[in-house]
Amino acid sequence: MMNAPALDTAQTSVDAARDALQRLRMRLRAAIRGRDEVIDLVLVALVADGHVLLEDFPGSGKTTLARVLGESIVDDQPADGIAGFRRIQFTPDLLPSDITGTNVFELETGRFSFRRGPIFAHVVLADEINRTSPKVQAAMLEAMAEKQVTVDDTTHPLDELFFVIATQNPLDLAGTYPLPTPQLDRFLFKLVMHHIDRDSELAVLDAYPRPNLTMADGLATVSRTEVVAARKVVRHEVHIAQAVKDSLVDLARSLRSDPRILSGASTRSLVLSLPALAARALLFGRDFVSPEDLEALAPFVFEHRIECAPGADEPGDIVRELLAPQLERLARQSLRR
Amino acid sequence: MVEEPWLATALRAAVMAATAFAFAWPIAQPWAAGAAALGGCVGALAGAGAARTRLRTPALVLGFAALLLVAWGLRASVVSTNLLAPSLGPGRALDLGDALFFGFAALGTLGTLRALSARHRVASIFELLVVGLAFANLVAAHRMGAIDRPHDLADPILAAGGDPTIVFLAVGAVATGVMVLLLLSERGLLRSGVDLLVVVGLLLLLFGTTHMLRMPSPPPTGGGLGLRPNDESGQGQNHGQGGHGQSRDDDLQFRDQYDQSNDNVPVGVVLLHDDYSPPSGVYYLRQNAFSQYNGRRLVGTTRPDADRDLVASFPSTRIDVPETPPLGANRTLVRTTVALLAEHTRPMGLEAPLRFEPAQNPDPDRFVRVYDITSAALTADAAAMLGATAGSSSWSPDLFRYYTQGPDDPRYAALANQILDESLPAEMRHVPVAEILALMDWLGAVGTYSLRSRHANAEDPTADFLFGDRIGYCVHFSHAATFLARSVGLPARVGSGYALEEAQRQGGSALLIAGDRAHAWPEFYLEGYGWVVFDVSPRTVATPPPSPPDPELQRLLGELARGQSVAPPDASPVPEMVRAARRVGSSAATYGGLGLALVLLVLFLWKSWRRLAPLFSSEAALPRVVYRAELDRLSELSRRRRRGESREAFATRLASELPTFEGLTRAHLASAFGGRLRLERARYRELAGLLGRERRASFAVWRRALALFDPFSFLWSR
Repeated sequence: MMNAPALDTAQTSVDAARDALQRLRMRLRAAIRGRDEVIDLVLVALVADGHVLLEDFPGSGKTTLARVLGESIVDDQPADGIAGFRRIQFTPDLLPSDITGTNVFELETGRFSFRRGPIFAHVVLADEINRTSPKVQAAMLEAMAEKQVTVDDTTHPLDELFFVIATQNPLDLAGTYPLPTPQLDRFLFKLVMHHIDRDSELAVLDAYPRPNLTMADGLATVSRTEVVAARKVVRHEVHIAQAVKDSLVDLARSLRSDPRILSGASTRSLVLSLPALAARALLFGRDFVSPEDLEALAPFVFEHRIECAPGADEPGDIVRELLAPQLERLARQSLRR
Repeated sequence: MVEEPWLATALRAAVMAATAFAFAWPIAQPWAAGAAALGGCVGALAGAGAARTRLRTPALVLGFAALLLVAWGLRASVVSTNLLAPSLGPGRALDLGDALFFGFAALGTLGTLRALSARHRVASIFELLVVGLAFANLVAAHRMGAIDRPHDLADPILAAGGDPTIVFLAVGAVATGVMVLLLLSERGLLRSGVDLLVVVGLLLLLFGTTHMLRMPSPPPTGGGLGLRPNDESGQGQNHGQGGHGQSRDDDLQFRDQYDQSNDNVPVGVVLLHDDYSPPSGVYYLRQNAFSQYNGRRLVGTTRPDADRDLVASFPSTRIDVPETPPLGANRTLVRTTVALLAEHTRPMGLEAPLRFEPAQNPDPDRFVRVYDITSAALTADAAAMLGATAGSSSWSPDLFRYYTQGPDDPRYAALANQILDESLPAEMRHVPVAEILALMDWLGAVGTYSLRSRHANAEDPTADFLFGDRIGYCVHFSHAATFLARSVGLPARVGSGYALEEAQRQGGSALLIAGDRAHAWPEFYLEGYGWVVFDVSPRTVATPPPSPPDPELQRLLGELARGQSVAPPDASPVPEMVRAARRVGSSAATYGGLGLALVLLVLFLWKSWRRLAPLFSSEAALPRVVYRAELDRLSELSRRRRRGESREAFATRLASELPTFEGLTRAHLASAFGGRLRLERARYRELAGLLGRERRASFAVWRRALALFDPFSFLWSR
């Protein structure tokens, strides 16, 4: 916007990261119609080094989203043999080794060697994660938290970029193993994807017979290094004002003390939300976290981490309601000395 | 179109109902006025509803105009045909017809107005105008000092001891305030409530100042007799004084056109404390007299020994008139009180006054001066004075010459002698009173009284009148009479003041002095009687006579002027309490008004400081201060961030009106939340300029001008 401020190294890295994010955003928007908000939140999670749980119906474009994201991030280290995108369909009979990989006895060498599972990828789509057994879920979630898998006492680090988009079907719950709230805590956001609007749906049909996946072809891509660099910028270059942190803590405290809520947000969720706020600021071209970021992200950060009393409102609505005074305070503080 | 809150709609309907009622009340039966109110109310609602439909504006107007036809048709069918009239009877049929007519006419007219102004903001000015006119029309009778009119409204107020003028002012102010509120109703309800408080505060202020600054005085009249100050201002040259020197402010003037159109305003009231009927049938209240011939006309005397019966200033203590007329059987003592509503140049009193005394003013808000006069009023009629000689034996020959000096023109004496010779028998030929009566009678017979004449520019206006067309008004007649009398050796002068006919009293003891009773008359000095008025009464009158004064008003003003002296000192406790409450109320209004003015002043200063702060702020505080000033400006224009709305969202919401505001918001947020973005002072100035231009493009002038006067807006900006 405005006049270019003095260029310094910090500013350059901020600009570069913002630029990379814009390119990713353009590609995703080209391929997926009517999901701008979801795209932004997925990008925020990607840059904030978090994971995303999508709750939606089959055929709403989540595979496309994950695949386009994976393919948009060009692997500039092909030697490590890690794929850009992997999809795992979770079923009740899946075993942990099916996702982490397993040690295989090699006849030639006479030794066990580790064969990587599908989890070794930049972007992993964990489809219908609630259909598999808790054992497999635990392995998956552990991998997400630790960024490593342990097979037969050997620890194998996952790729630094490792980003999971998990999905679950909110309706067809027969024979499923719903994720308990503590497990949900490992996801940065839980996004509910509603049906897209009429115009966007028409635009999807108009694209026929060309597959949606190819819509982003030709648009600029982003390298894996750039994404990793953006994560660094988020941690070090985006300023989070004390007032914003105050509001975050006060929001968490008011969530915990609200009678409608049985268990409030964890301290970990607050820590996790800081990079998310910074990432969103970066996505919108700012080098500081504004109250608007808090307003936009808080419902998605806290919604799945709190447990409401029976008969209470939607958790998202409670979060928005309790957030309003914090936002008002932030807005007022900004005009004071 | 802006969706307005239901309370505003209801308020509007109520105002429309009141408007229709106010229009219908003076010209219709109460039933019909009620129907008009109903019609106005429904019209406001229907107009608003119609404006929301997709009908085109001309169709809307035509539709409502059709209602006027319906109104006329309904009335005609009820009143003039045999449909309903026979079964209802004539009285009821007329009532019903009127009610239908007024109801539908109000519905049609006000519905059109409402629909138009809901569609086009310009039309709301007409709406405002109609409402204003309705109330102005209702209280129009109150003008011209008729403080007891309109009777329906004023009587109860007067009976309660109030002042209708102030009440009407208040009603007008409230109506204006309400309509202004409605104009601004798009701002939302809470805001209107606060504005209402401001209006109430302003009204309190109005009351306070009206109380302190007194009542408005009667409007200046076209006078021309020099009775009231500034009567002459700016008119002398138009009416051609020729080169005959500067005249004093309170002189008589010859005018070609004596404008009396505005003159039936009450300027004072006389209370007679003694029963007295003047033999001539007219009470002459002399204010001044003119006896010195200046070569063209008569002016106030400069001689110390002449006209010593005049008093030049209002009494602050008792003033005894230096030269009193000879007392005796021919004159009786009459005490009067004069209460003046308008400022006059000199005190006037029933001739011939003996002394002037100041009197307590019973109502300082209303009367500018009140004083008592004791007069030696004439009781002798002309027949009794036949034996009197002209002039006074105490006069020096020089003074006698002074009172008989007139123009050198020999035609005056020739004419006078011819008249006297023709009309008087030989034995009466040298009887002064007979001569005077003969001259006056002749003048009355040949002269034509008219407020329009063409003598003012003549070398000798009196000669031009007397030897010309003989068309003129009292100044001409009195001069002609005086000069004719002086030419045959009768001491005479011109008196001026007010002439009130005895019939006007109607048996009461109060006499209303209306502006159009201003008069100039000839006076003659008779030995043993003093100055006696023998007036000319022209038999041919080209100007309609002044309307008789309103007896109700005369009685009312008389009571007001008498009030204080008549009121018993010990009244019952209830009026005492009421008086106390009124005192408390009026002081509360005064101090409340002052307090409010102080609060407003502080608010305006505070607002100005926030507006000007960017000029003085440090570089570090600049983003905050500039942004705050801009928020204040937007708040004035009722563009405010909603509670819980982020600054960015607010800026995005305004982006269509003020695109630059987004950039300013971003700069402010960056500085407040630790971003690196910093703008130069010059850049801020540039942004402010851009925003100013965008504001001018997006908001109407009146909206921005009005915003400047909003004392609260900045308290709402966030």
